[in-house]
Amino acid sequence: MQHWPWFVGGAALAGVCVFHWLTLRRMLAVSGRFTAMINRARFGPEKQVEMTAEELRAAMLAATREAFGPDAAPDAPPTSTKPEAKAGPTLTKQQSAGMHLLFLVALLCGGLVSAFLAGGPSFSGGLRGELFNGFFGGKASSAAVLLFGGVLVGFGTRMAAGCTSGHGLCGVSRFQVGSLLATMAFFGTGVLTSLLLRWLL
Amino acid sequence: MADETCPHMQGCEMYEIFTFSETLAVWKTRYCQGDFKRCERFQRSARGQPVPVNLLPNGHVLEKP
Repeated sequence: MQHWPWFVGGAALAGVCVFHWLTLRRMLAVSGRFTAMINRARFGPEKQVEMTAEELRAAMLAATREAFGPDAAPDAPPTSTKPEAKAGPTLTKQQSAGMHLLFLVALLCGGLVSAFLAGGPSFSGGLRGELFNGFFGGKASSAAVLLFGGVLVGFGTRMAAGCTSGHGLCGVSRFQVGSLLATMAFFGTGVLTSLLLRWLL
Repeated sequence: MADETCPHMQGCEMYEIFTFSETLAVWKTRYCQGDFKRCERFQRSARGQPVPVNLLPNGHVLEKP
């Protein structure tokens, strides 16, 4: 299997993030979508709120004055009908569970397409490498270790409020300090684990 | 007041809104980059509860004017 050159993979990931923002006006966040699906199943659908940029600006100014006093938000809500006055963030409908599911399925399909382009996927029950399987006592226990690792990743992702896509791709590219620290933790732990396994095996 | 930034800023819809206007920066300095543990959005997120998109850090729910 021939892996893509790192710069092609990097450019593709950046392209996906930009495309996601341009089409949906949302930051790419894989674990965020997964969390949204779980929350919908646990707590039911959220109340839909939609506001245009002007409505949102007026509501925010009113709420800011209420919270911090009239001096905190001295600007009057814009009454201009010029296009630039309408620019700004909006509150849009929350995406449906179907959209979240479609995204996650597309994620898997993207991985498969990439694997086929690189010479075809290879499926295995555990981590490829007899040493790894042998160290953990066979394919089944090695798969259980990987599953446990996946649970830990999920736990850490919730603790850090984001995963490698939200923090690593979107947060770091926007120079968010929390995202930089989170990404350093992700990759630092990955490198340490890899070195530890290499030393153990 | 905590002198840290909110670890949940990434992906927070309200933070996106606060960064768009200097007038709204007071929310950012008081909560996102200040005492974020008082933020209702952070508290709900930390408890694993869904965070309504129109919920403000002080617990006020933003409605259409």
